[in-house]
Amino acid sequence: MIQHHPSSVVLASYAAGSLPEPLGLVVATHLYGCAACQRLKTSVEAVGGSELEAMPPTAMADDALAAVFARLERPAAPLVPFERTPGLPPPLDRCRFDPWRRIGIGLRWRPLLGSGTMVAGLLEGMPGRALPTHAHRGLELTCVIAGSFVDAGTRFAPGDLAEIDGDHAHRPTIDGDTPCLCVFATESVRLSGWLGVAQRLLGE
Amino acid sequence: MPGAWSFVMTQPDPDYAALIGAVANAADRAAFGALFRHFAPRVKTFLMRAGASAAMAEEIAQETMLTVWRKAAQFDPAKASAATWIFTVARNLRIDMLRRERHPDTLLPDDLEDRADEAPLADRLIIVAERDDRVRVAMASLPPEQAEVVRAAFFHDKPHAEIERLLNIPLGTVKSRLRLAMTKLRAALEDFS
Repeated sequence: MIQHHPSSVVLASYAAGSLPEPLGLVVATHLYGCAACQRLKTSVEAVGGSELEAMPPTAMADDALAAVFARLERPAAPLVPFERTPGLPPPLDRCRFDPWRRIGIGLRWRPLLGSGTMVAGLLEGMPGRALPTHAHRGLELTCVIAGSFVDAGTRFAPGDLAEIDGDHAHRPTIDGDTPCLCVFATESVRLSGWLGVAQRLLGE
Repeated sequence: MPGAWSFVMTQPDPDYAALIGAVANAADRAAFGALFRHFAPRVKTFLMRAGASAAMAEEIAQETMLTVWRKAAQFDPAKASAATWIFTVARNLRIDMLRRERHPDTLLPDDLEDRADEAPLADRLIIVAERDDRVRVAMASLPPEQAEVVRAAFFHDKPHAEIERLLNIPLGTVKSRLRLAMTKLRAALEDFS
């Protein structure tokens, strides 16, 4: 049973198409298993439909319809088959990741390719491990894929989405007796401790 | 369309869902032309209000209609109205376009939505016209300041900060207004599940 959902602001932004993509990927992962948020997303899309319907028209180029008809004559570009990443739920299974990187004992992460200026990827921790203490400005979203973690007394299990916005230092800890796999994205993050030193050395 | 609005409408809207069906089933060019004339200019305005240049809005609007032709068979009138479906097509194309612009080397998949939609969904059974009416009524009954933050979510890239700046209200207020608005939208659809 999913207990933790994205906030209204995040879900509305996602459905409206204005949430940056790596954050959107985390929301999409949550939505895959959450019928309640799917419904709310659908209603925001319906608002989008009625907004679209209410737009005053802007004239298209004179030859626009002819240009589209001409393009219809040509076959669509073949879909590039994507390599599925096994063991991940949609839509993560069609994303590409760098290889796993160890970040301390019992903790590793796989950066999401193409996440631009954001930090995003998969994170896996063994039971009892804590994530490095980190603080960030801006939005951080994490969705649990397997296992669970506890952050400030709240437990996050598969499907749950943890949303943290604004200045906030925290140290989530893997609980239970199985590894915890998550997908996360954050607008900006500053690690403290030794990992923070490594981060600065790598120029972030 | 039933309800209070029907008396102000001098001419009934064409059934756009049926036109998409004609494109899907019969490659009906006349139906497509009617869809194009109605939706392409509105998609263009929508995108320009969301910050696209006129040239980019034109390109995405054409691309949107091309996708409407190619994916017409995927349109499910039991899931979304024509306008809502076309909104989602345009939204996804805009995201793709922004991604290619900012990160040409990107490897993120297109259409996160399509995959997410594979979830088993009770709402496939919803009668879409009624749902859309309820959403419209719920939006119309929101206090103007709440409707404003919902609309702002469609037209700004940095939702939180941008809405705060644009509407000149504190971030906490943006969030609480949006939360109230979403609660009402949720309530309007409650017995649909």
